[in-house]
Amino acid sequence: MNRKLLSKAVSDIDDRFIVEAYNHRSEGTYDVPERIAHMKPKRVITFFLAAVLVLALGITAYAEGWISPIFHRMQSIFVIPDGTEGVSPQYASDLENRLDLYSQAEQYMNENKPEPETVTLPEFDNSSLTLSERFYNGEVLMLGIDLNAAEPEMIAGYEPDEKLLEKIKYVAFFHDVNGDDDLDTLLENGMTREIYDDYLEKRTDYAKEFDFRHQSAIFLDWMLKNELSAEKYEEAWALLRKTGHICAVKSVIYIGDHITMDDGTDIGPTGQQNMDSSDPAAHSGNIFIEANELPDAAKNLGELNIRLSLKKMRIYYYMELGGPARFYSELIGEEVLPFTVQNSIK
Amino acid sequence: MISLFFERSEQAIAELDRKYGAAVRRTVSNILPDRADVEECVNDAYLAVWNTVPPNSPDPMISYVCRIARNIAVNRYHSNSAEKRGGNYSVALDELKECIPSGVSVESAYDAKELTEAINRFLAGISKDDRVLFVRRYWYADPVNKIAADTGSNPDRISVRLFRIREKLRKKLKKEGLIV
Repeated sequence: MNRKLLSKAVSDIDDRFIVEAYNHRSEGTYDVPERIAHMKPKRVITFFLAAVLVLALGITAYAEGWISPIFHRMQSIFVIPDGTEGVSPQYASDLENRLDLYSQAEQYMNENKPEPETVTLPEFDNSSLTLSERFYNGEVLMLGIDLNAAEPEMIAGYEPDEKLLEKIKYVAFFHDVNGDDDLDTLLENGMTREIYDDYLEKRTDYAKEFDFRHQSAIFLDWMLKNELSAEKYEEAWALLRKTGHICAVKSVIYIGDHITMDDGTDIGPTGQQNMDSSDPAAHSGNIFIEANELPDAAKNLGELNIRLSLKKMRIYYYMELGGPARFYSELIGEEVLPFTVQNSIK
Repeated sequence: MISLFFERSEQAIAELDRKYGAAVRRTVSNILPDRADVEECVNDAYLAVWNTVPPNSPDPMISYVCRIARNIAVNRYHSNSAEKRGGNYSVALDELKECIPSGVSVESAYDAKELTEAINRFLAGISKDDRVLFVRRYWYADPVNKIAADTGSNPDRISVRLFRIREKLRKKLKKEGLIV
């Protein structure tokens, strides 16, 4: 790789992105959402009350995105650079069409105001899911979902039985069973000295004390430090020193990627966007889901009956002192939730 | 401010420095460790703006002057021994190189342009938070510690997020056939 030309490639990115980042640099108010350890406190405003307030203030609900905040926000999430420099006309056109669709979806919500539907699931630690926004025009399905997923704290110090441990130790954090993420091996195989030094430097004090040299172990230690309270982190390390190993467990609840029709037909690939957090590990919050490659069976219906899948997964993280970190995930619960979405055109 | 340049006013550079000097210096010093080099590059950037406005009428000015300053700094970085001494910009560049595996080369100006277009498409399609993080780290070359301090986060968390963004970029480049 030619460093000069890579540098040039990055240098020439679009002006808009440079200005956007500059504004955040200057203001210093760019807010990286913290990991959600507990359910967020919510200010509850019914759509009806919101509409009354908005009308009383003389501000259109459309402009403020009160009624359809998720579809409204989706219109500002993508940036269409001015001109065609650096972006092909086709791609710019595709982005324009996409934004137009989000606008139609918001307009539909504003005009029809379908009631939100909430489902609470005791088996999922009383997590709740609200279908708050929906749009189906016969070709595309869009959903706006407010997911309040319970996220119990990570537990460190779990002792898996032999069978489970065998499953956990099968795959290393970053590599398959034959991989090796020892930094010295990676250095021999092309990692630059600067990145190598950076990893070693950024280890926590404990990781340095025990000279962690596996990329996965360094990451797991970071994760423990971020996820556990200071006290629990110290306890985890006390256990690790004593026994030479540590296993941490966490549960996550999330909306599954596959949405089906009543008869089990998969409606095709879906894209999910968490509107409240760009942290890929965050599962709660306002979630936008789009399915724009519907199969023929799902197209041009008067209404589309869908089944969302809410899943509960348990993830085990494991490491032994001096070795790589492993992880293993297993599905421990699934709930299928039916909803009906009217065709906006018919 | 543009009008000051068009009027060839002596106040133009002073105003440019007053408004954007801090941002320009920070951008350049992220790339060049030597203070004297930084000041020289900043001055060269201001001269370049003076010489090119008019006929150019850049809007926004911030990206224009930062881009000029960055290019001057990067050229100096590559041409003198700064590259060999490593440093923050070198680390940032190496992180980005991870997205493009060895064996695939960007060796021509055309390839670099294609890559720029791909990166623009990638940036347009990710969330604003991730986009700002990416541009701060790999265009402005802000150190991870600085980004963490500005955002109330911690360096480890920022590093992990950058890793995930680079993974997304790598997958995007692979999907577009730019890498195998």
